[in-house]
Amino acid sequence: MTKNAFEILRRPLVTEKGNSLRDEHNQYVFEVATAANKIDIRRAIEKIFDVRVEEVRTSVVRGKNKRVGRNVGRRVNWKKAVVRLRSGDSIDVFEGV
Amino acid sequence: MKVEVQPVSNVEVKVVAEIPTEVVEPAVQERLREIARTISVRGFRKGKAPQKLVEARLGAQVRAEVAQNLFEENLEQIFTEAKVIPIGEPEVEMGEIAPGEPLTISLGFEVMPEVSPKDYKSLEVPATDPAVDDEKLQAELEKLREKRAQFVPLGDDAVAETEVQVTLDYEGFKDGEPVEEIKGESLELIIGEGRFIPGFEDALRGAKVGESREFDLTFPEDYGFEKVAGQEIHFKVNVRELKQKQVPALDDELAVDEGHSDLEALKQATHERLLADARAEAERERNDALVRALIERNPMDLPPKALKAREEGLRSYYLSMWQSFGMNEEFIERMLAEQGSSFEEEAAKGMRKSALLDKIAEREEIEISDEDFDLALARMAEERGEPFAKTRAWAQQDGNDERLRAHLLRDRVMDKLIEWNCAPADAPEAPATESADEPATESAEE
Repeated sequence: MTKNAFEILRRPLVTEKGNSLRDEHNQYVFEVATAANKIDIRRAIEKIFDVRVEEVRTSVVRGKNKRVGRNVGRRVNWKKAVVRLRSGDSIDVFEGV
Repeated sequence: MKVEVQPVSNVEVKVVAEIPTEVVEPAVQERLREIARTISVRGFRKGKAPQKLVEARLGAQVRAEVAQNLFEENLEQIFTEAKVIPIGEPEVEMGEIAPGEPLTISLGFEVMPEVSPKDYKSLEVPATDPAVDDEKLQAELEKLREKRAQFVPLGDDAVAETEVQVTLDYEGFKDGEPVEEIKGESLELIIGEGRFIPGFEDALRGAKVGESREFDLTFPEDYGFEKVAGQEIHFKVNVRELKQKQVPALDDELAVDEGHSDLEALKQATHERLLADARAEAERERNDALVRALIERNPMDLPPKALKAREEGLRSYYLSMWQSFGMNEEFIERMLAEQGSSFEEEAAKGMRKSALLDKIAEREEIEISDEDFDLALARMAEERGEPFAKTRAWAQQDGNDERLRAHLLRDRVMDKLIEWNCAPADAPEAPATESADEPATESAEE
């Protein structure tokens, strides 16, 4: 499957937890396309940010059940990727946005 | 802080101040820290967002805010370092505020031009010699008599003639219909004064008390009340009373009524009053001439915006003063024009005078000491009839003391100008004028 790197990576997740992962383990968290696999994610990150990826861990975040009045709805599932970089590499988009 | 002064013209100055990065950056960071402690950002608990993230999001805003604060804090210091006294509100231009860059603030404003007053000890002022001649005195006494005049009823066989006051009821008709507005009772008018429309008084001549008359008169075209202007009106008039004006004789009795012991005393007092008026007037004229001469010898440009502001201030001041007497703006302007002046010229004169007097004070080292100031305050307290402490408290409010001080200083310089330029001629009359006590305090300290 050849996919555009920018279609695979949806957005960086900037959170408190993500920050501490980055500081302690040089890991960066992204929301990625649900169809993407670890290999796609590794390639996409290496291509876009010009870094070396050591490890990719993914999980599917189940959409929550939400109700608005009597209507019951469900949020979509999405895939989260935690990427560990070679020590010394970094991605600086996390500093901003 | 680096401050650079760039004169634009002799009444305009541009000051460029640079606040160094070492001052700007910590202030920005401090503010960011504050914000980071309270702000909620998605993905972080409230107040837990990293400062860097906050800077990335709100940096530009915070920098602008800090720049504004720094500007306000440093404004006074900028003026002090630039050694300029601004007039009016400065035009502010903030430079770019990028991280790690110093903050540049550029201020454009007006200043009084540099002048070094000259010739102020050799001004030529025409000598004035206030005097009261017999004619003026007589005229004044006549006025007094007029004021005390009484109207005494005349007998039945008297008729309306010149100088007789007629009390009458009147009614006007147009084409046989009564005109509502032309109707009145007990109107008093003196024949010969011509206060009503032409012909009206003449139509009354020869009338006796109780007599009724009817006559037609045409109102003038430019009569103030439009409904009847240029119209022919039929009048019905009933004469109620005829009175003769009686002016009291100029004698001891009149003098006693006026509160004097006899006629001689009245004449004396009137003469003194007139002389005091004439002297005050002469002094005013002389001071005015002095200021004019001083301005003439020391031409200077004026900052246009400040002049405009002063002109407006003057306008509203005059208006507030005279409006209560029913005068409007055009009237005052016409009055000034008659004296060959205008609000603008008055404003310009005032500004030039203040600037020159201040400069002279500086050069001649004329100062208002604290004692002088207290003395002036005490005099004010007396004039206002309030305790000294109250006046003092007033002086300490919003810059009143500064203004009062400046005012006193200028008055004192004026006194000095008089001393330098017209001392010999005016010396004998000095004790009689209002400035009598001021030279006294001055000589006491010298």
